[in-house]
Amino acid sequence: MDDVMYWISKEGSGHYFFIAFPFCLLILLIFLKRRRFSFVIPSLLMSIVIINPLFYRFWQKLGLYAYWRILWIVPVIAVVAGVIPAITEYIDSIWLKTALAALGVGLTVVGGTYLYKGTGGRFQLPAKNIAKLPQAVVESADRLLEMEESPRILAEPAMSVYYREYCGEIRTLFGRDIYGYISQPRETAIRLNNYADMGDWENVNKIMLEEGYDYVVTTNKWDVDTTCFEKVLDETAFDLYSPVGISGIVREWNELDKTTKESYFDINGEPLLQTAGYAAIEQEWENNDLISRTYLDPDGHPINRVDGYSKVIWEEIEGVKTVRFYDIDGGEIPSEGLNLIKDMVICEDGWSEWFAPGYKRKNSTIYFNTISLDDRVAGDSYTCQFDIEFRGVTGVVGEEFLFQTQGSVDGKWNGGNIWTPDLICLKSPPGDGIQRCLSTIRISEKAVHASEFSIGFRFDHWASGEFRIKGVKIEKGQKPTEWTPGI
Amino acid sequence: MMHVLLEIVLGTIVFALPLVVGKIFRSRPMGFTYLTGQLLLWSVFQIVAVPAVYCRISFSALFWIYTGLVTAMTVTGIVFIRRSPGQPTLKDREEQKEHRKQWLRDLSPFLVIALFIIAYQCCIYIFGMHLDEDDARWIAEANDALIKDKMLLYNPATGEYVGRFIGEVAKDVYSPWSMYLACLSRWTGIKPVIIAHTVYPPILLGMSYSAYYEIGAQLFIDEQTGRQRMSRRHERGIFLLMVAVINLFMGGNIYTQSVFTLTRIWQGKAVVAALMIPSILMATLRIQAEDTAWNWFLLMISGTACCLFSGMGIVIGGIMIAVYGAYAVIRSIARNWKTGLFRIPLLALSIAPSIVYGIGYMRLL
Repeated sequence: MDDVMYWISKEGSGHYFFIAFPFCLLILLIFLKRRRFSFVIPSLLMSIVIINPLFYRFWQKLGLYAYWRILWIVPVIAVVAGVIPAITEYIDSIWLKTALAALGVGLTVVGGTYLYKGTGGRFQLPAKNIAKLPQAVVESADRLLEMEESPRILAEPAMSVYYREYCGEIRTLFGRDIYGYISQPRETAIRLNNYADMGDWENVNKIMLEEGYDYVVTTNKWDVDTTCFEKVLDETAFDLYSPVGISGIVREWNELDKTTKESYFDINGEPLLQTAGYAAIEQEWENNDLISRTYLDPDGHPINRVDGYSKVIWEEIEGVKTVRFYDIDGGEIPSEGLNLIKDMVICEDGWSEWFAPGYKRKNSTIYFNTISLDDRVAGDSYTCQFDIEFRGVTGVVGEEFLFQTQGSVDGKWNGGNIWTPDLICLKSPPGDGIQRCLSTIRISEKAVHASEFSIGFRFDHWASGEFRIKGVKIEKGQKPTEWTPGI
Repeated sequence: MMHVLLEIVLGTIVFALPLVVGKIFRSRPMGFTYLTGQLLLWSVFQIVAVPAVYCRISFSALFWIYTGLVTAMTVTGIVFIRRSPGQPTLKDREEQKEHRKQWLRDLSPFLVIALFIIAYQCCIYIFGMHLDEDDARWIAEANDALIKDKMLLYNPATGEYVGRFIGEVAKDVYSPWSMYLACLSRWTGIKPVIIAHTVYPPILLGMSYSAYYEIGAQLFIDEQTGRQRMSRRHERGIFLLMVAVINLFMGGNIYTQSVFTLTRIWQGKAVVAALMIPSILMATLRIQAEDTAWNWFLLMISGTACCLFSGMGIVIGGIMIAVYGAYAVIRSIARNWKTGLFRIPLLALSIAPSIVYGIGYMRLL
C-alpha cells in the first residue's frame, strides 16, 4: 500500500485532483443523469483495478517500473471535469449555470498549480528558431553542413544531445547520456567526457584523429587547448575547433562506416609496428559482419604475426559461427592459446587507459570488450585472465560499496553472467594496488546460441578513484597461457 | 520562398488527410471526423510498419507501401463524402446557411471560452520552446531513416551504424512512432524536428480535446421529453472548459497526464497520455451508447493506434480495453445474452494488438 500511496502522492503533489477524484465519482454517481452505468461504474472499476496494492507489483512490472504512468488510466480528468456539468443539468437558468461553472473553474485554479510554472520554467522560453532547439546548435549545424556533407563532431555535452535531432547527417562522438539504454559500450565517449572536463585535450585530439572526428563545437564552456586544436570558426553563438597533429591511426571506411583498412604511424609519420608485429590491417565486411582480417607489414604486404597467423576468417556454417586462423602460406593454425580478445585499446606499457567511472555510479556497468567465442559447443571451456590496478578508490559514505566483474550474453547480463562474480568482487574500497584475476567458464546449453559475450565492470556506490587493466586474455581451454596480443 | 510555400501547401494537404479519411466513419462533427480519420491512419501504419521494421526492409519501401494505402483510404473517404445523402443544391445551400446561423446562435459561451483556453495552449506550443532530452532518440531515428533509408539500425545518439536493434531502440520496433514522423517529413519536405516541435503539437492537442469533447457529448446528451427538446450544449461546453482548465492547473510535479499533454505532446508516451487514453474511453462510451460494429471498429483501431506510440501505449491500451471492454460486453450480455455473446470475439479482436505487440515487445527487450 505504501508504494501505491507513494506514487499517488508524487503524481498528486501540487494539486488536489487525486484527492477530489473519489468525491467527484460519488457526486457523478448521484447526479449524472444518463451515463451512470456507462461511465461512473467503469471508472470506479478501473480505479479499483489500478489503485490496488494487491496488483501493484504486477502493474509496476508491466509498466516497466513506471507505475506512475499506469496511473494515467484512472480517469481523473474526465471524472473531475464531469461534476459541474452533471449538476448544471438540473438547472435551467443560464446565470446559475455560469455561476457554477465559474465556481468549478475557481476551485480548479485554487486547487491546482499553473502547469507552465511547474516545469522548472523551461517551457516558457521563447523559441528562437522553428526547430525549437538551442540556437547555438542550429547555427553551428548549418555552418558545419555548409563545410561538409557529413561532419563528425565532438560537442560539449549540453549541445551534443541536440545535433542529431536537427539533422541525421551529423555524427557525434557522444550524444545523450544514455549509457546502458542504448547499451553500446562506448567507453571512449565516457573517457572523452571525463578527459574534456579535466582538460586532457591531448588525449581528446588523439582519439578524434583515430576515429575520424573533425570538429570540436563549444560555446566556450570548454577551455580548448590550442596547442592540440586550431580554431576554425569564431562565431557569436559558438566556436569551432579542429584537431591538429599526426594521427596515430589512419582509417578507411566502407559505405556502412565499417573500417576496411587501418594503418598505424608514429609521431613522425613512420609506420608503427604493433605488439603482434604488424603495421596495418585490412578487413572485409558482409553488411554488419566482419568476415576476414589480414595483417600487413609496413609495405602493405601480408605478414605473419608474432603468434604465427596472418589472416583470420569468420564464417557461419549451417548456423554455427566459426573462426579460423591461417598463416601467410594458407596453412591453418590451431586456435588453442590464441588470445580471442578483439580491439583492446592498450597503452605502450601494456596497461589500458585509466577508467574514472564518476561519482555515485550506482548499479551500472561499463563493458570494455565484446567477443563472439566462435566455434563453441556446450561444455567448451574458456579461460579469462587480466591484471587490474586501482588508484584512490572510495565509496559513497553510508552506502555499501561493490565492485565486480560483469559478464553479459547478447547484451543481457541476466542471460548468463558469465565472468562473474568469482573473478573479482570487492565489497569495500580496495584503496590502491594491483590484483590478478583468473577465471574459467563453461559454455552452457543456453549460451550456445548466443551471438556475443561481453566483459566489463559493475559499480555500486562508487564515489571516486580510477582503475586500469592489463594483459587481458580470453582463450580456449582451461589452462591459462602466456599473454599474446588479441586478434 | 517557393520552397517554404510548397512545404506549407504540402503540409496543409497531408495534415488535412484525416478529415477525408474520417469520412469513412460517416461521422459529422469535424473534430470527431478528424480524430477517427487519424486513428485509422495510425492503426494502418502500425500494422504495416512493425513487420517492415522487424524484417529490416528499407524505409522507402515502407513509405511507398503506406503511401499506397493512404491513397486508397483517401479515395474511399472521398467516395463516402460524395455518397453522403443530400448533395448541396442551391436550395440546400440556403438551408445550410440558415443552419450555420442557427449553429452559431446555439453555440455555448462555455464552449467559446474553452476554445480560447485551448487556443492559448496551442499558441504556447507554437511560440514556446521546451527542451527535452527524450527527443534525442526518436527524432534522430526519423532523421536516420530519411537519410540512410534504414530503420532503427543506427545508434541514434551518435549516428553510428549498428545493424541491429540495440538497447532502448528495440522498444521502437513495436512502436515505430518515429517512422511515422519520418513519413510525414517525407510527404511534406519539412524536417522531422520541426514537425515534432512546431507543426504537430497544436494538431495533436486539438485532437486530444476533440476526444474529450466527444466524451462530453456522450455524457451529456440532449433530452427529449414529450415535444420539448432539452439541449445539453452548455453542459458539453462546461465539460470541455473544465478539462482545459484542469489540464492547465494539473502542474506542480512532472508526472501528471496534463504535464505530458501540455509540454511535450509530440513524444509517443505523451500522445498516449493526451490523446489515446481519452480516445479509448470515448470509444467504449460510444459502444455502450450504441453497440454497433462501427463503434467496435473504432475501439479496435484505437487499440492498434495506441501501440504505435510507445511500449506504455501497448500496455495502457491493453489494460483499458480489457477493463472497459469487458464491462461493456458483460452489460451487453446482461441486456441480451444472445447478441451479447457475439461481442466477445469483437473484444478479443480489439485487445489482440496489445497482446501480439506486447509479447513481441517483451521478447525483444
